[in-house]
Amino acid sequence: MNQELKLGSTDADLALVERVKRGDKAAFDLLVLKYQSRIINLVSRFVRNHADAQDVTQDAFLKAYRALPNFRGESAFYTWMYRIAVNTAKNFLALQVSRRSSDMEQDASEMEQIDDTAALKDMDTPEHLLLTTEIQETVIKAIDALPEELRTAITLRELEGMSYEDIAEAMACPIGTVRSRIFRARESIDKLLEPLIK
Amino acid sequence: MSEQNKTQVSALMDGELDDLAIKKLLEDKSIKQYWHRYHIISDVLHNHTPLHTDTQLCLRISGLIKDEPAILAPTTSRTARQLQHYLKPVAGAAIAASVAAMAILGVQQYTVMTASSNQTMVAANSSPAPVNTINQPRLQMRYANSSNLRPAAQTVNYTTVPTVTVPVDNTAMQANLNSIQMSRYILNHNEYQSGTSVHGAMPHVRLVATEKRR
Repeated sequence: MNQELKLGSTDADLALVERVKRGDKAAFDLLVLKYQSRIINLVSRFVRNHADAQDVTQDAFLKAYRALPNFRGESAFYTWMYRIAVNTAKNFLALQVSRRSSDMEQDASEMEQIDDTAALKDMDTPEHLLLTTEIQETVIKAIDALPEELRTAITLRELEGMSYEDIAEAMACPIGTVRSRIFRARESIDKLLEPLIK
Repeated sequence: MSEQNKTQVSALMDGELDDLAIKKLLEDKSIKQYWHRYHIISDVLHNHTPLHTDTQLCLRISGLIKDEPAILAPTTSRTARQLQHYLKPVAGAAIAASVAAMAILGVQQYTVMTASSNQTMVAANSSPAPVNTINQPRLQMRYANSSNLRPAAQTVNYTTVPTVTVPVDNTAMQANLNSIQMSRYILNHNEYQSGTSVHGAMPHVRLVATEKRR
C-alpha cells in the first residue's frame, strides 16, 4: 500500500471520526464494518478460539468508541485501533492465564474437554477458507471482465493508491468521470459478490 | 438505495466526500451493506485475508454503542491537523536548539568558573615572587585641543605605552599583592557560590571550633 492510498483512506477515516465526535453513532458503524476483518485477523494471532476472538474484537471496538474523544488524529485511525486491539487481546490472555492457574486444581479430564472444544472452534475452518477463496476468485474474475476504462480507474485507485485528481490527469478526463468510473467498477464487482455474502 | 448515494459511498471510501455530504449520506441506513461489500472488494485487492463477511459482529457492537452516551468532543479541522503535522518537527527543532544553546552556555560558564577557581588556587598556593616590574598596557588619552570641551572635537588616541620599569619596595608590594589576591579570591568564590546555591538557602555555614584548654 503506498502513501497516497494511506492518505485517501486516512482522510475517510478521520472524516468519520469527526462525525462520531459530533455524536453521530452511525459513522462508527462504518468504521467497524471497514476494519472488523483486519481486527479479527489481528486478534486471532493472540486468541485462537473464534468465539473469543470475536468477543475481544467487540471489546476492542467498544474501548475505541469510549476513548475516541482522546483520539486527536495524529496517527491513522487504524494504527490507533490496532494498538487498542493488541492491548485488549493481551489483557484477555493475561486474564486467561491467571484463571488457568487458579483452576489447576480442576479435574484433568474436564480441562481436556475444554481444550478440545476450543480446537473445534478454531477460526480457520475449511468452510471459512473456502468462502474466502470463492470471494477472491469472484473479485478477480469480475475485475478482468470490466471494460478497459473502468478497470484502469479502479486499479489506479485501489492498487496504485492515486487520488481522483491524479487519476483524472492520468486518464485525461474530468474528476467527475473518474468518480463515476470507480463507482461503476465497484458496482459491477458487487453484483457478483452480493450472492456470496449474507 | 439511490444511484447517487451509492456513488457517494464509493467516494467516501476514497476520502473524496465533504463533511456535509457525509452527514446526509449517513442518514440513509441502507448504505452499510454497500459500504461493507465495497470494502470486502478492497480487502481482496489488498490481500487482507481471511475475510470476515459476517455482519453480526457489527450489529452486536452497534447495539452496545446505542447504550453508550453520544460523544460530544471538540473536533479538529483538517487545516488544523495539517498545520499540526507541519509544526510538530519545527517545534521539535526549536526544543533541540534551546537545549543545545543551554548546554553551550552551561559549558561556557563552567569553563569560566573552572579557570577562575584554578587561577585562585594557583595564586593561593604559589609563593608570590617579588615584582619589580609593571608591564601593563595603558591607555593614553590626549586631547588635540584641551580648551575645546565638545566631544566631537576630542581626539582619542589609543596607544600602548612601552614597558616601564619602576623600582619598588618588595615588602610593601608583597602586602599589596596579597591583599589584591585575597580580594580576587573572595570575589571569585562569591560568584561561584551564587551560581550553584539554591535561592534563599544558605550556601554554607562556617563552623569554627576551638579546643577547650584544660
